[in-house]
Amino acid sequence: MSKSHNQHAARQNRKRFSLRTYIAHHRHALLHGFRQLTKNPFASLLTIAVLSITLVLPTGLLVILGNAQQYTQVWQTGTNVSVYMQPQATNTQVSFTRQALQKVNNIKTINYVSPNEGLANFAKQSGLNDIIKTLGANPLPGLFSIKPNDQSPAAINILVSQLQALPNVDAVKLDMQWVKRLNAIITLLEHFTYGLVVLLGLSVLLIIGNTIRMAVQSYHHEIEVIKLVGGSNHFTRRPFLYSGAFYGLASGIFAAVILDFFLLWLQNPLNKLTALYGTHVNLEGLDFSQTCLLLLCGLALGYLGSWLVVDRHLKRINPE
Amino acid sequence: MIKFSNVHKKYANGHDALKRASLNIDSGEMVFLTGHSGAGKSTLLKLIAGLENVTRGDVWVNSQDLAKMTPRKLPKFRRDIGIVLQNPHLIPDQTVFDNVALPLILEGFSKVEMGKRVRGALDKVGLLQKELYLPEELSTGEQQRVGLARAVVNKPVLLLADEPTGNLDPELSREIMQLFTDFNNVGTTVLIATHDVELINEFPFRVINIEQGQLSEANNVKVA
Repeated sequence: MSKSHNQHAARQNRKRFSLRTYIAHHRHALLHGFRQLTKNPFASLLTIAVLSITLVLPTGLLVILGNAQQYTQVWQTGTNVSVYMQPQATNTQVSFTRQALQKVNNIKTINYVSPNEGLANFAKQSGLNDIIKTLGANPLPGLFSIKPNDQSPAAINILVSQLQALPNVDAVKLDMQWVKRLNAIITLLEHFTYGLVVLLGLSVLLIIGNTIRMAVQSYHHEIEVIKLVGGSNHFTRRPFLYSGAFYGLASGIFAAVILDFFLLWLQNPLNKLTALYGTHVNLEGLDFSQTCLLLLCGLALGYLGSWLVVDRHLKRINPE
Repeated sequence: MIKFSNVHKKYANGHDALKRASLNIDSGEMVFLTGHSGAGKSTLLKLIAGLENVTRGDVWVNSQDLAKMTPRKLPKFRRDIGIVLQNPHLIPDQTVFDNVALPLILEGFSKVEMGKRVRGALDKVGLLQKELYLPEELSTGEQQRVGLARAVVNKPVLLLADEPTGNLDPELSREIMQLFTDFNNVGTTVLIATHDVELINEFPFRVINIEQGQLSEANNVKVA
């Protein structure tokens, strides 16, 4: 009688500490999840190596993309604004416009090409000298070729509208071909990178899922015992979820380190390349919050990859 | 404690393991279940532990209708039952202490209380000195006693054993059986499946015989 009373009391005791039970279970799972990695350290390291390389690829591309977008402006120094005069503009009108141009902000250099110079240039470049001679009158207008100081799209837009408002100006043309091409390349690279991020993220999920599947098999015996003595599904699967998260987190850390070395390795040849263009580009690696984001992504992918497979495989194991 | 009424168990391969079995075991009883191997002893125990489902009929264990037991409630139900199998099912890379502590971890006991209980159970089975050993460092009989310690550490209301002495010599078997009677003496209901008729004749408990899936009460020699 006193025994059954004790049993009852013991059962009451357990219910009271449900939060403590929860914490104790998570601590147990954390420990056992970690032990799964250290049980076969070499195999775990190999898995983490594969995962971190898989993470480095998309992250590296994102970083390079970010750098490219940041330095697009440096590469836009070729931007040229052409201001076409009205065809019938006289020399006085041209010099009047030049004076007006000199008062406009954000202009670095002004170069005037008269209709005759323009025609001579065209004849030289195109080789159509004979045909041009038959034209009689010169069809080309006078042209101011302008290089702006501030090359940002916003500043150039303002400049263009200012130039259009000048007297005797027929049209303002922006030589944006180079910028447009560059932006198109960057957009392409963006799409490529985002596609790769999705694909390689999926492969991280699959690699972790497969690793956890094998772990479940190798812990077959232990899982049987836990189920036999009344471990809930949550209790049984938790170490595997933690283990997946550990794999992801460790891979994220490795990936961040690999990426830093990789960028360091690229900096020198990049310096040589940019020197040829007369500029200098400093490759920006991951900042603190981006590094945190990478680790978090690794952790989440690891947890998710494990979560996707663990239930299905645990269900197959039952005590005999 | 255990009530079977018209229980029928048919396996997927068509084998009828139990046919219209009815059974009643009261709280605090100690009962032997005998029969040839393959007669249905293990099936009966699995049904009680919720490891298998009945095909027809009702099974009540510890005041709970197993037909209404959802998979979510099953672990909680099983924590009130101690199970000992012929193979003790120990976790090979954990110490004796950790193996025995597992049911207490599930229940969320504090470290201090856990230590007390585990050592109490190990003391009971005579293995207090070996709590830091790994299962492979123990003899078969000792491993079986660790399994028994794990089964009772949570003070279950019901103790089920399937051929617990199957791998042991008569001397060790008698010791293990004595331990079961000790647990029964403190109020635990005990059901042991064994084919060792000689051994159970030494104990004055109720015997249920199972033959080709049918149950019958057998008179124990000593009681008769």
